[in-house]
Amino acid sequence: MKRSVLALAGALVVTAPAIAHHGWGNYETTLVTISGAVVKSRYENPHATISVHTPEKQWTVMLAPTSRMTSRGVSADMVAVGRSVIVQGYISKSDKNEMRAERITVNGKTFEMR
Amino acid sequence: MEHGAPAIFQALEASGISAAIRQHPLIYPLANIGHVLAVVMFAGAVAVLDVRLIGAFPETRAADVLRGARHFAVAAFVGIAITGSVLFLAEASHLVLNRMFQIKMLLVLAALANVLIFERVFYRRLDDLPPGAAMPPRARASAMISLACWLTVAALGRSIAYF
Repeated sequence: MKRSVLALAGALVVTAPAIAHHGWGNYETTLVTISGAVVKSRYENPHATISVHTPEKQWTVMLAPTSRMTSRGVSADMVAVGRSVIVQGYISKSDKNEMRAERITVNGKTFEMR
Repeated sequence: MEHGAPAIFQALEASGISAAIRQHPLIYPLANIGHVLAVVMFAGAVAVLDVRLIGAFPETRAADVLRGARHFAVAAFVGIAITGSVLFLAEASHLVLNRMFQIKMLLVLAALANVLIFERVFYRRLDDLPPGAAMPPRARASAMISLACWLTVAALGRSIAYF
């Protein structure tokens, strides 16, 4: 039994780097800040997602589950299409156009996502 | 939506029920909590069942312990399946491409196959075992495979978010 458990663990370790995709650990460690208009907004679970248009590119921003969004003070309307937002977060290692938000600023007020 | 996923899973994620799960403030969090609680119950039942097969509590009649633990395990598994289906529907096209999820599901099938084989082939023989009797080697082997599989399944489930 010990051998089969070790073999299984080995298989997982080997395949892990190849398939790290949108996972929570797969982000860079440098904090970046982007500012722009929301062009797509999905206020839903497992986590809210918005697309933010900046001069540089269009970002996909991972926010928090809707219950956390609400408890932290961010309603669906505040991140609706057309709103101007500032997002501070970490860029995905596997998708340079994606970031996960640490905090979001709307109308001069900042809200923690983590 | 993962456009690289097989069409059936994209269709599931595009469905009204999937959208409802994502958009309701409570359904997804409750399904998540419920899934964890069902897993906790299932783990308890499986632990009792498997350690009895390995030889713990020898003074008990094996068949009696196994029957009770089995009923509890089946009920908990139904809870796992229902809550898991809700979680799956919310992001079906993403999960089906997640390696941790794929391995987890394969292991679930392996673990269930192990249960089926054990039930079909060995379970009857345990009915006659009096308290204090040694457990047959195949019963012990099946129990160890079961423990290894289910523990790994639990770890993989938690790992989905990290890949």
